[in-house]
Amino acid sequence: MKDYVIKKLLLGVALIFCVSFLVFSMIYMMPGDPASIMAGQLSSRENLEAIRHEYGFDRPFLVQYFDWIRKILFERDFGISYKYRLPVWGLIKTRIPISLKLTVATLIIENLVAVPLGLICAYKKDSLIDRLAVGTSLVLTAVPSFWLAAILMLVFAVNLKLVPVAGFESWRNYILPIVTGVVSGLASTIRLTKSEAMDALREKYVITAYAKGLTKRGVLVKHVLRNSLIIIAVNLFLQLPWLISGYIIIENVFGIPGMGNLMVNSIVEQDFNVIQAIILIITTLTVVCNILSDIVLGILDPRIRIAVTGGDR
Amino acid sequence: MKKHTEPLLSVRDLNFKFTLRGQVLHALRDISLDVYPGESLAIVGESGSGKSVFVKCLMGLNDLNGYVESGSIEYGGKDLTLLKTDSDWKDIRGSRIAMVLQDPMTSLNPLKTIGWQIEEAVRLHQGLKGAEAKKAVYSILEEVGISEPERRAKQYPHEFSGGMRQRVVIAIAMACRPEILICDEPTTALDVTIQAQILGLIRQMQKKYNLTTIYITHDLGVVANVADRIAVMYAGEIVEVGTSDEVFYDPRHPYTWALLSSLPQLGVKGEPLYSIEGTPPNLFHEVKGDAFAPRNPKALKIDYVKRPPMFAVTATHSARTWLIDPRAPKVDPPEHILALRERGKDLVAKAAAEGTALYGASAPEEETGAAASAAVNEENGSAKGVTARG
Ligand SMILES: Nc1ncnc2c1ncn2[C@@H]1O[C@H](COP(=O)(O)OP(=O)(O)OP(=O)(O)O)[C@@H](O)[C@H]1O
Ligand SMILES: [Mg+2]
Repeated sequence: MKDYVIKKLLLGVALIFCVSFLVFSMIYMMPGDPASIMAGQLSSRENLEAIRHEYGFDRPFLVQYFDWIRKILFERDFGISYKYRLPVWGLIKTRIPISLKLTVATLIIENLVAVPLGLICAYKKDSLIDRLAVGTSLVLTAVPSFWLAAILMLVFAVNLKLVPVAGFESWRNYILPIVTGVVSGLASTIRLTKSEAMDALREKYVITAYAKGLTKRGVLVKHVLRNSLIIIAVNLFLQLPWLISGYIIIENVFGIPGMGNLMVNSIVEQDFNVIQAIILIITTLTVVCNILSDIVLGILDPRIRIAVTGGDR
Repeated sequence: MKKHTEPLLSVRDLNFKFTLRGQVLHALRDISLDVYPGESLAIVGESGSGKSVFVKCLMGLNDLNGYVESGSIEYGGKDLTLLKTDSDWKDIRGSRIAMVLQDPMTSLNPLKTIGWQIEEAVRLHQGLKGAEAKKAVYSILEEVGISEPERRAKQYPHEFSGGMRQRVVIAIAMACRPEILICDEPTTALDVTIQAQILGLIRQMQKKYNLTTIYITHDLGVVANVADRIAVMYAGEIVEVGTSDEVFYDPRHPYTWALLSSLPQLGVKGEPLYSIEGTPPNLFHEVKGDAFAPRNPKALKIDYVKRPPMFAVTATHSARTWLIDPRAPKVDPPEHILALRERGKDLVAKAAAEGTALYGASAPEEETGAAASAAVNEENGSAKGVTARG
């Protein structure tokens, strides 16, 4: 197990480095360079040169890259936001918890709704509840989340005035964004749970379990549920990064000052340092979640646990 | 030897159907069969002939789109066809009838230790808990030939070879302390030497616990080794049933002839192996006349028109073919079947004289299928199984 985790960690670190390199080269592939963005369109040549020199843009590419990495790693210094003229880390620091709160809450609620529904759908396949759940969730996935967010806001905040329109001070501000997030993820989780449970129900060991004399409930709880939960648990971790990127738009609609909100503003303003930092943070989160899901899989599935440990337990 | 025994389980005119996309598949057609205490009954037949569906009827394990249309299964003073819910089945499934499934690779839960899976049955049927249940698990594991049971119990199915897993599956079945053990093709997925070991183990369990066993197989070589009696299934019906010797040495149904003819050991050297032409009928349509007629080159006219009834040959042997009707023209079986009949004449005569004597609670191993087994395995002298699937 230890070797397995270490291997996954090393792979993850390598992946983050690759992404960081791509992200860093991004600036040089975009029209306009950081100096001209900072100085403004009408700045003089001398002024541009001065800025380039001051911020080290005139150094070789690789030197700049490694300097950037070093500062991030050892000083938690992601550079200066060109727009706000403030350290990037300071800007992001307060926004990470907001985004995480939002996504984790969404994830938990979504799975609490979708997993039992999926199991019921598998067990009572083709019943009314199955068709209703699958049909509705399918329609809901087809709905773009920004549109859903706008509709929800219109109905519940503007017309019914049940929740505030925007802001982030009270927990009531989070209701609509969370509902939007839950709804957009519901269908895929229901379908995944259903298909996993149906696969498990079709397995021969289920017949063995019945033949042993177990009741339906016993078979479902002890053999089907546990076996389908593996993929669901793995899915939970894999969903997180998706949700975070999904919230980039939703946060903006609801005016919640999370990372997504900052990201969109920074793209509009070409605030490269901030964009880089956010991409890097989301990448790291993705990699961490992947590693966690691999570890969970390893713990839950003995076939993998043993394949990776070579049999020593 | 007991002269006469009451059947332990008695199936009468059982008809079982599946509904599939609005169509009805008639999977079992008028099956009648008795199972006697302590005997070893084999059910043979091509793939799709309904063997698995039949034994699943005995445990209520058929898929939910299947239903008993008519007939009865008398067992322990109950009619099993009337049982519906899990609690109806509670006293039967696992407790009195247990089953070993065909493919040991998939019939164990991959996420649970094998100890846990056996213990589940021990708790349920022996009422043991905690350390006692663990001890029972170890002793069952040892009994089915798994050494170091305490270490092995903590392992997962994928750490076991196919043969070992089948031993575990047998252990689970035995942990239920059943009266009847159904083995649905217990050795098909295993290689020849392992096959022999598993069959040996089942026989050993049968003797030790006075089990009644029902074997399903397409492998006549296996049948010859293990069965007291044989039922031959074709297209959802039993076309011939008799003692092992009767079916091997005096087969009456053309389908049984064909099955036996496809045994390599009975073929003539240098000639291509016999295989049955054509395919079984589609059970989505009601079968007219003798189901095997279209594949039988010597079929009679009546075979296409009227379904033959079960004709009794002896007290223990009957077949569903018009050939036995006194009015039927004489149709001789293929030559090698005649030769086989010569060879088995004495045995069959003896069987007929003793009535039901070839099976029964105390039938010793040597006398039951041994003669037939010797004949079948004579040619190459190996224990190698032969598939009748063609
Ligand atoms: N759930 C089901 N729905 C529809 N048809 C079914 C169902 N289960 C079995 N059948 C049909 O019943 C027939 C008998 O199947 P069964 O599994 O008993 O065959 P078998 O003799 O055991 O074959 P094999 O040797 O391949 O295991 C087949 O035609 C099969 O397609
Ligand atoms: Mg079968």
